[in-house]
Amino acid sequence: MRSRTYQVSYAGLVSLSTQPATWWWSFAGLALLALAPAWFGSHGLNMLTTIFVVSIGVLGLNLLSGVAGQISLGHAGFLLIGAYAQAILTTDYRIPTLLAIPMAGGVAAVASLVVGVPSLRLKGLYLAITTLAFTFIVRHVVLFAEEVTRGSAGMPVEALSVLGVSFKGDQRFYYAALAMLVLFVFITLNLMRTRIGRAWLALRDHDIAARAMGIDLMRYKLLAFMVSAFYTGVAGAMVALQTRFVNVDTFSVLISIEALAMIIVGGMGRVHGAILGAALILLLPELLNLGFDAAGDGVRTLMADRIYEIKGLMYGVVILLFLRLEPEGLAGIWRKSKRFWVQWPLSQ
Amino acid sequence: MHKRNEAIGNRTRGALVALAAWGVASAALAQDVGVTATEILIGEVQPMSGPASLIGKAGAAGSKLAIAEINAAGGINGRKLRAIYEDDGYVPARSVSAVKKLIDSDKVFGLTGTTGSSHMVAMLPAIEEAKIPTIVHMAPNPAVVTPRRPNVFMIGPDYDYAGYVPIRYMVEKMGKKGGKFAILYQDDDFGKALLAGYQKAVKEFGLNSVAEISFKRGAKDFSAEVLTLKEKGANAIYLGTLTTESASIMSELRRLDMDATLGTLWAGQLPAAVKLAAPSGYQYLIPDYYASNYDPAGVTLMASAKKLLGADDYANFNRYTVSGYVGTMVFAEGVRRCGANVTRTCVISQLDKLKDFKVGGLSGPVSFDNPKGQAVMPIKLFQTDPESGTVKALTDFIAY
Amino acid sequence: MNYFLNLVTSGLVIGSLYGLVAMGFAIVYRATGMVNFAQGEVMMLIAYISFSLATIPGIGFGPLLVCVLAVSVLLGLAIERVFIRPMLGEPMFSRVMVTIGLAVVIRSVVILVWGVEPTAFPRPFGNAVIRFAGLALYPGQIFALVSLAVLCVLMWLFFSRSRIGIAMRATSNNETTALLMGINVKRISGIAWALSAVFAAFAGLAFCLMFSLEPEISQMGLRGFPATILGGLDSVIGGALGGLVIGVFENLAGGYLGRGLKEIAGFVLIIVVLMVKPYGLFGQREIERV
Repeated sequence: MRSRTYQVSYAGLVSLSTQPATWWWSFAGLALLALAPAWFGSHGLNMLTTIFVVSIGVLGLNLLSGVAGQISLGHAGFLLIGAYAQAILTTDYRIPTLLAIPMAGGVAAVASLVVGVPSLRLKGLYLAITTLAFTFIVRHVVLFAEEVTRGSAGMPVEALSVLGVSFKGDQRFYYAALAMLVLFVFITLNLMRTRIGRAWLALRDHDIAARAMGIDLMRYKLLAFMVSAFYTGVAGAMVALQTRFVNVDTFSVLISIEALAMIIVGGMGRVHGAILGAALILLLPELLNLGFDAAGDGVRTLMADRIYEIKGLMYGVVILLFLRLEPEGLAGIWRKSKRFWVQWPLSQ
Repeated sequence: MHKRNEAIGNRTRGALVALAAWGVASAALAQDVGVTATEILIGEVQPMSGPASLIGKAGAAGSKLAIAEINAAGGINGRKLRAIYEDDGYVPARSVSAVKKLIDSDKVFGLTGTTGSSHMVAMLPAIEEAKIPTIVHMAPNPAVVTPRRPNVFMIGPDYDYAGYVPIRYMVEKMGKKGGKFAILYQDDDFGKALLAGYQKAVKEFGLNSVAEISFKRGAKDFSAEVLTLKEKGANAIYLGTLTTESASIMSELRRLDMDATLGTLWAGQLPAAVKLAAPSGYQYLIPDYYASNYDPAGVTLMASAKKLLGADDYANFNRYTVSGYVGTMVFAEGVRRCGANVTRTCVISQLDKLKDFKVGGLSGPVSFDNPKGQAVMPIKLFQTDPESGTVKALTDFIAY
Repeated sequence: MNYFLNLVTSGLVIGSLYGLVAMGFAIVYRATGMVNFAQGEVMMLIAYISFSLATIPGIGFGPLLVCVLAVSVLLGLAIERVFIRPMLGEPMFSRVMVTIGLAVVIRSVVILVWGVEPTAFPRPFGNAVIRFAGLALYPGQIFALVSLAVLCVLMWLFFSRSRIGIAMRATSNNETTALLMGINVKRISGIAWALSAVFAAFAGLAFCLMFSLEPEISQMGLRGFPATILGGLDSVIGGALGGLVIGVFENLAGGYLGRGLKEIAGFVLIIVVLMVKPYGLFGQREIERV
């Protein structure tokens, strides 16, 4: 494995990767994922699908908070909007399910202006709490506008079908989710290597200096919000298609916090970080289940009543451990392992 | 070369024969998913963590109690019961994930716990597709049985009875016909069902309804709402609240010196809720289709719980424990009536025919033999006694 | 008129609860520049510990309060030392996430130890309604109002007269310069967290005396945010006033508009105010150097 920090041409700087090895490994990984239905039952596929769908949302949040540096707790609100948009568009307006997905993303993007415009004046934690307020308000609006959203009862959602091919079952939807994730990963990687991505990085690191360098803050801030909301809206639509039911309870404020945890655990600003973070946080309850099962019946009966609180506790502890020991998250661990491997036997 | 091909051919043929033999043997045993010669595996999805954990844990405890009692008596026709409890944290997406795990991964035979009402609606497609016998008892919701799913059975009247019965009692037995009625209800489908019941009573008895106020779930402070009630002069108020909110509302009512007759729904019976409301001194009405902790049947069950359940579950014993107990007992009865040949189709057809199944005074008789597969239970009315922090029964189980 | 007055009074009562929470947020932000997302959970933990302490036979309210305050100071110092100080130098995002992780941990631990059932908190002042000037209040509600008022006055004196208070102002202004002037910045940070825990203690006690002891106390943390934003994140007294304003505004919205608008009235208000004053009503504008 070669270290790839030395580029000799502009093309090299801009390309996604100059090493054919990266592409081969990526294809191998994809192939492995495509074969997953052969090994996993419905529950396992369901978990993987959830990871893919949530990753799309986390990628969006990553763009906003990790790359553009605008801390947002409004994630849950956009997920809610995307999910309900998907439900309402397909049920009330009879729009084909596949077309409704980007439209749901679009609705969320437009809604993001509600938070985006205030963001132009607000900084840091003031912005974060405004986005939190946005989540609460969205929730209230959804419950209030009963004629459109069926209020608190929730709405069933039609299954995804593309040109007559139904993606209803767990296996089929798995592939749809995988395809969607790959698409959005590419979009993200592309965004990052264009001037938009670089402008966002400048915005995060030092916005006043960026403005002095000629970057239109207003435009890029709003763009960050809209693109991030689009991702999250699409993720919300996919969640609706997966569970085939939407209701306000699914998207509480805790989801926003969980999404931030995923970014931290995965590594801020990095694409693979977002996906790894989502995977770890979502798999944590399952891993704990396995751990408790392995610990034996004695431990299990001892903790029987308390097992749910213990899981909650472990969840918090994992976040704290990552923050304390590996602030760069899983992506950081990956980077350090790669460097260790490359530099061996001289690695530190 | 030729030999090797033959060897492979022999091996493949051998494998196929073994496979066929296994298939035939399995068919001959006629064992269904989740059933072995010694054990029947059932599953429950309950909110064990999060806002509704009080209710979910109680429901699971009731189920555990039923299973412990059944197994102590030797099981059902020689098979013991075992249950897996999945936590959904009261989030519908997690309920769906949990039920899929129970059905596909754990391969349970039946479901006896189905968490909240909108959560059940979310889980319905998976449950329907798997044709798994399911008892809904914690959160009866009309949407579950409309349209009817052949494998889903529901114990419990619709929520609007909870709104209707106390108002009717106030009019018929407490002489409040001329009073100013009002309702405070939670702004979700459960609260709206209560509102529907209240409005039905208002219409039926020609009552004067002066206020119908909604509030968001999770609200703690009701000063504004209660002030509005006082403005309108309400003196017969229905509280469509879940647990501790009623205590808050009553303390506000007391502060504003309002002398009102109050009614709430079955969750008001929770010992925790009664104790919290006691300082305000209101003797409020509670309809329920299960016995209370103080009824003879409830006392008997608590004694059994003391022996067979953990200390926490016993301390948290309430009408949801009874609900979980009854739900599992009813399911067990369906299994019992199938004798040795326990299959899902058999249990479903037995439950379909269930009529007047008695659960020892804990509730009215359970009957599923109706088009909706719903046991619309008779309702008992209780009244709290703030001095002792207990409830006493005013009526017996009456079918309204 | 009576209706209006009653709404305002109830608003002030619940507003003092918000204010106490907001003051906790503000003092940590003021001293360290970060928001403690675990404020609600710290409130919850102290409330439950107070409940356990109250079961000691023969303990009067005075000694109980002293014990609770001692416990909260120790808790605040411990949290700062164990969780926050090691993260100095890390980006703000990570430091704030530590508090979020801490919030999850504390909430789970409290439920593990004490269970989920709502319990009645002992009422040392009794249950009788106190009536004066046409208004009626419970002792618990009066406790909330009085605590807020007293703490506000104490804080004003602290920041304007005491050495530590002035040192804290200096630290929040410019940490490096404060260090050069001989201020022990680490100790200031610890003191700020201890004070924040004291505010949480009063908020928790007020909540329990007004309502009941239940895991939902931790939600008060989120409900306190509008108050702290309105008043300005770094203004302690601003937070208190912001709390009162939000409380009254919410109640008036609930009383006159109804339809569950009470819940989001606070959030809508802060968005509107922030448009005009991006740092809250009393917050300091942050001056960034390029």
